[in-house]
Amino acid sequence: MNQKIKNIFVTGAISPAFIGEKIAAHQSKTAIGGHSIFLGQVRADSRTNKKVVAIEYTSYEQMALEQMTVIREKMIEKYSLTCMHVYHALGRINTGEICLFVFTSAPHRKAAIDACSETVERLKSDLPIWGQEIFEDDSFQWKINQPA
Amino acid sequence: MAVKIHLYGMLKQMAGAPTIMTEVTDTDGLIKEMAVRFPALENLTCLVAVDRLVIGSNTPIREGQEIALLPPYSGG
Repeated sequence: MNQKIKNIFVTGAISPAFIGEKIAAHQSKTAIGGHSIFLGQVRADSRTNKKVVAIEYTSYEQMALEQMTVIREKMIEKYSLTCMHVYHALGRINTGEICLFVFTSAPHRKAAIDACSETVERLKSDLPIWGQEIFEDDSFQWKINQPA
Repeated sequence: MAVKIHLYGMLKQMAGAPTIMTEVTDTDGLIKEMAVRFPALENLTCLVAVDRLVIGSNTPIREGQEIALLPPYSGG
């Protein structure tokens, strides 16, 4: 593993202001011709007549960070990315709030878009992160990821 | 050998603790032991990580290794 392990976790929801700041920080990187961004948002699903009001995320953090470093290295090499950034929220995230922010940048759009899409799929399948859906009455159930 | 097992997600909740101690010598033994302790796991496919890497086949457990039992992931 050649790359430094970067922390992807933030406590609480990812704010629109944070996302804006990250976009602005790339204006000086003029080799970039295209960015692709995926934002995961907590959905108000209904399960047996109860509505999800939040998801509480936890992780095996050190393992997740090591796995993400492997994914990052592969994506940068495969798509010749200029850079990529991933942020995942931990703790209680209310419906409508952002829980995942994947941001890929490349000289041309196709590489940025394909890398963003593949990164989202890989992190959902490979990162040890768990979501517990919390309902209006404070009961809960463990989330199960659905295929794309 | 007494082995500390790190638990996450619903397993941590079922156990009421982030770790449990058990006497096992390999990862297949660990899976069998966990099925006895947590019958609800019967319908779940859990992964075993040794030193933060998911193992794909039975692996001996050595002293000092970090062993974790991981329920299905649901991040993102």
